[in-house]
Amino acid sequence: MTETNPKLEREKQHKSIRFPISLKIIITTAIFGVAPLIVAMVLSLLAQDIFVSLMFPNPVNFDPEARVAAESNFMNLLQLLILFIFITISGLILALYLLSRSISEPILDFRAAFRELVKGKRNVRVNLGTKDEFEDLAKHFNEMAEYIDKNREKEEKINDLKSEFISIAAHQLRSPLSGIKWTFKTLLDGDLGVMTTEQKESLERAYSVNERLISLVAELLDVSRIEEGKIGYNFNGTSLERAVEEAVEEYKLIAQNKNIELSFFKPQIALPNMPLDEERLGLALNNLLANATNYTLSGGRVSVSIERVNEEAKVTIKDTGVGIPKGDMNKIFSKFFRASNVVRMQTPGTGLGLFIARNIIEKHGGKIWVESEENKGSSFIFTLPINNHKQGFVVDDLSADDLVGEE
Amino acid sequence: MDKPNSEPVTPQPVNDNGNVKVLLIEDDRFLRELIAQKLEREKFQVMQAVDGEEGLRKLGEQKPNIVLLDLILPGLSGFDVLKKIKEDSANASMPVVILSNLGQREDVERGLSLGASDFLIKAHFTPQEIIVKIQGILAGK
Repeated sequence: MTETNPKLEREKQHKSIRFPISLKIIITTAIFGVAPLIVAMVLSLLAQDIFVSLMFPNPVNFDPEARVAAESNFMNLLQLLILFIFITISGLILALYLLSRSISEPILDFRAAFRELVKGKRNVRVNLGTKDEFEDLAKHFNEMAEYIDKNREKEEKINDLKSEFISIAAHQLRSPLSGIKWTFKTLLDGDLGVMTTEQKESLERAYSVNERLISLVAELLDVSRIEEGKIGYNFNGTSLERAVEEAVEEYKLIAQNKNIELSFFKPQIALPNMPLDEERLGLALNNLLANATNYTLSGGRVSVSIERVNEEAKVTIKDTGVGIPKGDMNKIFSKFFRASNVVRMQTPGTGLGLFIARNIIEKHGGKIWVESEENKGSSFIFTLPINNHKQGFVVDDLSADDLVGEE
Repeated sequence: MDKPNSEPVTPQPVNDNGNVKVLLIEDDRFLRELIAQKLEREKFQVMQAVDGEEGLRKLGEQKPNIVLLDLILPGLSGFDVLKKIKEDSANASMPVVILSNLGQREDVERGLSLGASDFLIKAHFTPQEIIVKIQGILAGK
């Protein structure tokens, strides 16, 4: 399909002769339906002569010769009648065929074009040249496709810029953040003189706030890279059990300090090693456990369990925490989203943890979802295929479109 | 991971940091001075360079025992500097520790494959932790 200047084409169309569908139906029926009928009628007039001569033979001339002539006349009549029926029927069929094709073909073209457009293809245009209503429709379709193309391009550009911006900003942020961190640490270490306990405590608070900023930068970088599709995965045979256990171990102390009971249940039958990117899976588990311990109040429980369901391993992280409000459930995995109840709690959080976790799980060929009731608790559940077809290093080839713009 | 012991003011008298020359290649003055201060406090001999060219020159002249290298530098990038250090047979065995704002997997892999001894993301380490890393690398050598 070639691109043409739509304005020029529009002007050209106005000047040239148009054939509306109704006119086409009339012309087609006239040529292929009525014309054979006329021919057939002429033939039938001929047939009538023969018919009359057959029905009312001249009795005077009734002799064997005339009889032979009459018989041949009868044969002629039959032939003519057959010809009459044949021409009429085939003419009609042809007319119907041409008519239906002239209507269905443009529709099929449109169907194909819409399909391609939905698939996200660029430069989808319909060029019919039928000079009827369908061509008008095609013109409008092309205008729409052009509009969609432009918007897609704009969206991609904005997205690229955004990812690039985040990445540059994050790297630029790291220098001053390091400077602050190192200065605070130098002060806290007493390198610049001994401080009072009060001074130290207040500096420690500032230090921990700064640490939060540093981890936000790391998360932003992860997200911008997820969106650029630049994250590569290294799938190696790993024990899921061990990976989960290690992640749980890291949260033991945090849970203990908050008086939360954290328990881990291994599967009844040990799972085989699975192709996992240990580092990234660890990050996903970390994010899920951070949420579970963060949003569970003192005295609550967090339990992590692994079980095998057919060819998948299923990991459940269940807490007795604040839960997720019903209205927020479908947005919980989107970027920068934080449930309304936890925002009210004034707890720190970036709204990126679950977005990152979902991306990692899905890149492993798994699924993640949540079951929750506000004030009762949440269960984050994810599955991973035991026999992942992916092995070794896999470059993430997802385009930004697949990850952005979903609700 | 066991955190290094960061008890305030406990300089180990037994360490012989005084004989260790550290070359610091870092363009950000504030950060460079913070690290240099800490290193000097721990009795290291510190040489400072603001970019790759100066770093390579000082490296040739003063033969440090270890290099702390930033990656985003004006002119020659840290990766280029690292490559040049490792290509020169006179310095090829000199340990180079990358200390950078970068830190995505490809950066780390690239740095290590070029021969860096370690890759530290600035914001994720305290000066004390950086020194412990340096000591570990020098001790392991």
